[in-house]
Amino acid sequence: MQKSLNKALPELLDAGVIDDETVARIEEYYHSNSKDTSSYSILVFSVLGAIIVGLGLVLIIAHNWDAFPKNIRLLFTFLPLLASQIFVWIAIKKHRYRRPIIESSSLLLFFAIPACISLVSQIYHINGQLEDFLLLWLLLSWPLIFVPGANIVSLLFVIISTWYACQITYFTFRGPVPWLYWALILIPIAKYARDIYKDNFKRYRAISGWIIAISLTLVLGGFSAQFKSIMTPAYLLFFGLILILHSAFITSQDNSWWMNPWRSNGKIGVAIVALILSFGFFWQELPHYNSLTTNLLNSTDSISFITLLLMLIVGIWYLKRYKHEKFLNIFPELPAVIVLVLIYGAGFFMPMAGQLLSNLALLAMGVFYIFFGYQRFDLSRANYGMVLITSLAIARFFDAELSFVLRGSMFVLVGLGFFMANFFIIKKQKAKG
Amino acid sequence: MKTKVSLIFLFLAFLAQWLVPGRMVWIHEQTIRLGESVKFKTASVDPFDLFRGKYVELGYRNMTIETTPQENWKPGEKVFVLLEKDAQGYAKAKGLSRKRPEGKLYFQTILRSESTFKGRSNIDVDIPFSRYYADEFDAPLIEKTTLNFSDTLIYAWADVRLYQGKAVLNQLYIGELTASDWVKKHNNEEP
Repeated sequence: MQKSLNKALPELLDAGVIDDETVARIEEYYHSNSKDTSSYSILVFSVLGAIIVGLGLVLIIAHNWDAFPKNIRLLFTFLPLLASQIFVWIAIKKHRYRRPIIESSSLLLFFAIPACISLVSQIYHINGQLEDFLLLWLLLSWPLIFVPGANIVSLLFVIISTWYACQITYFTFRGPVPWLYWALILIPIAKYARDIYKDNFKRYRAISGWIIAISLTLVLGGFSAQFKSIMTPAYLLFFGLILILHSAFITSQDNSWWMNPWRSNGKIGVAIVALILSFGFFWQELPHYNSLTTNLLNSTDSISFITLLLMLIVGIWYLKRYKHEKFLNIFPELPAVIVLVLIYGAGFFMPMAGQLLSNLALLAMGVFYIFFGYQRFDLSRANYGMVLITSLAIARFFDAELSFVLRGSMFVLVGLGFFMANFFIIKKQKAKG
Repeated sequence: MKTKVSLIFLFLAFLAQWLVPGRMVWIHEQTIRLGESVKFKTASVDPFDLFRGKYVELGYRNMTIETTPQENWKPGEKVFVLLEKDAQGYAKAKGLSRKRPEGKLYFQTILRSESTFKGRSNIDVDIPFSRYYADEFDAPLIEKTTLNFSDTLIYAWADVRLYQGKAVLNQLYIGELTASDWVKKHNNEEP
């Protein structure tokens, strides 16, 4: 079937019977439904082989080979670039339906580009900052994400973009804000959005989603300049926003946490921030601003907060208006986000109240999940609720001034709650049939 | 039709991937061929660049510029460093300019820091020819040598080519020999 498919698809494409997207979907369908895992193994080993070759190129650079005259060194500098480009060209012209060749050729070129630049820099003893080098690498390699459409290059592009942003903002003393990161990250996000729309490359989509979500989470903190305390509610808004985006635009038949990265990131993110807010030390160390200054309003922290708030409002409106049936998917996190942001604001003036209300909010989330899981016979949701409450209990174990007997009793109660919740849900599931 | 558009797009991407490093080669080759050869006395340390390998970080003597605070130089500002040659023919910084100067003895860079002492401003600039990439086994020896010899009769010095504000490190010398030749000679002489 594979052989006849490889012959038939180009003929049908040339005759105009089917288009490129249909070809990609047919190919993806047969690959994902095939019981023969050899094609997937070939892809994995091809990619691994390309990575190892790429690393080998980097090692050659690091060795500083100055045994050759400059002209020969220049020849060897550009040779891998030329060879990789030829490989990609042939892959597109002759093997565009063979994913391993497309991926491995693109990956080789993705590594040949920085190798070439590095070697030229080495030959001519050129100074330069790491972030400038990373930016140049990204700017020269982004077309590979769309033509030939290499998934592994898209993943690496996100990783290198994250590195670039972190290099600027975290690893440089008083580094600038990485505004250019947003333009860069939109490129793989555009591919990701297109893959969702056309339902392509399911396997890669989950990994892409995770990597993009983690990248955004890491880099968002870099937009904090002078008023770091505003980034905590900004992060809450960010996690709420990605939950809304998941509910609005992503339909997945697989409900597992791994295959739904945006939903998982959103939920876990809100829970983690809520847990941090439940600690007393957080409220004690919160700086208090006596008045709204121009500096505060002009800072990147405020810009980030206001932008995310506006996006969240638009997202809630869109979901309510056009995807009403999915509106319930954002509970209880979205109400928790709104409540926690309000608690945060109140906590500036009443830190003790802020801490107490944060604890109650997290407790309420846990109880909601347990109750929701019980109602829907959903053990995973109920257990997640128990995990939230257990995390709260463990956190309070470390900072609450309670006797050991009381703390021990709390744990016993939580543990019993785990068993009982699971017991009743399983019992209810069996009764239902 | 869509395939043709994709191929044109890919071709343009390939072109850019050649043009960028190609332009780097062209500019540096032009500077080396057409530039004024200027000697700079050095001092150094020995770090490592993940992507480009082992290099010797070269410091240079007489590259701190003294000006008046009224000129109001700011860190991060693009400047032109004006050079002159001392009695031994080595270059030293003589001033700064915000505009491209006449003549050949200057290079463009970024102002790194400014400090005021006894009514005078001392300016340090980024030196665009401060890295010398060497073999990973030679670099530590070169670094040690250039550091040790900086105050003796045998000077380590850099041959830098200056052309239209661009400065390219052409070669590092220890005495009369290139750094790599000096290392080879030193290794051959070692018991």
